[in-house]
Amino acid sequence: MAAADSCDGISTSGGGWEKTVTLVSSDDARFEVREAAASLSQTVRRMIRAGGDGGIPLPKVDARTLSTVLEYCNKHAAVPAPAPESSSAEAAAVDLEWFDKELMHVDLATLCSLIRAADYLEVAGLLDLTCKTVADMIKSKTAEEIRQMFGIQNDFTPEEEEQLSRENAGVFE
Amino acid sequence: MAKRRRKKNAMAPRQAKRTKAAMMPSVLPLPDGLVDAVFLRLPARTVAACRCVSPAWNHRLSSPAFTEVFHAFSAAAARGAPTFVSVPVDPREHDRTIVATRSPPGPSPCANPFTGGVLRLPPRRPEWLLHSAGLAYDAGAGAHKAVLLLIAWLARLRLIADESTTT
Repeated sequence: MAAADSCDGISTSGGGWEKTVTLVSSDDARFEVREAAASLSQTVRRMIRAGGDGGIPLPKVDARTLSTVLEYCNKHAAVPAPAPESSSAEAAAVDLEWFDKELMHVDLATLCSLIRAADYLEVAGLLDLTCKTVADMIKSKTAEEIRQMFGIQNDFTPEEEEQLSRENAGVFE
Repeated sequence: MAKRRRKKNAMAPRQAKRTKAAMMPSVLPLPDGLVDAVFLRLPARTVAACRCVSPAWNHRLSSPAFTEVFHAFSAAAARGAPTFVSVPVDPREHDRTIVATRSPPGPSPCANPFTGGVLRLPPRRPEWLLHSAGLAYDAGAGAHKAVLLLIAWLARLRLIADESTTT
């Protein structure tokens, strides 16, 4: 089968009409993805245009992170162009939102590598989603809670701390 | 106060150990541009809380560069096409003419064509309260201004902007 021949950078799947590309992570794992999904990454899209054999190397993304990114791309590329105000479009949007939420149930370190990957691969939607998720983790927390979350030491001098609380008086009421 | 501080410092080694174990750099384990991408998505109130986290965070979040990008980003994030509202004012009484925009439902921007200044107005309270007040950020001057909105039945809108201390 042509689909099994993942050594080609751009190969045609058995169906003959849906193109796939092979992406190679930093730890040499190979992922075969539909071109439509891979093209959500502007970086990959440019590399597809440039052409090349033996798969598209992505030296800044490891296999674990790349698989999550591709999970996102596959899901989001599968969604057809929204027909406004139809009930199925609404259901698809709800489903997608739920999917995104589930995908973001990871720890902070994973989120940060996802942010780096989304930035490098230029997947705008994923970058926004991951940054928003980290922002939501910070939101509505006090300074002390944020310190605990990130393992940051409070190394303000007493003078600095006093000045800051003076400046921010009223903000936290 | 000094005594309490010393007591707190005595706890520091334990905290330092934990910090080291987590291998966290000073702000977030991300390159600078991406750290900003996260902070840009925070509400202003949380940014204020974040400034109190550590000197590194305070320095980063207080920089004019970040403030500028932050306000530009929040302005862009506000959705809805604004409609322009011009307000007739008596030139003898008011030395500034103001063009306000009405954009649903959040805070709306307001421009002074003479100075080129643009203010994003604070959220309005329900109209029957007749007035609302809050802080607005003037990107041109790089300063926050205290704004008082007076809403009368004859669609008269008066804006009193006082320079207030910038952060």
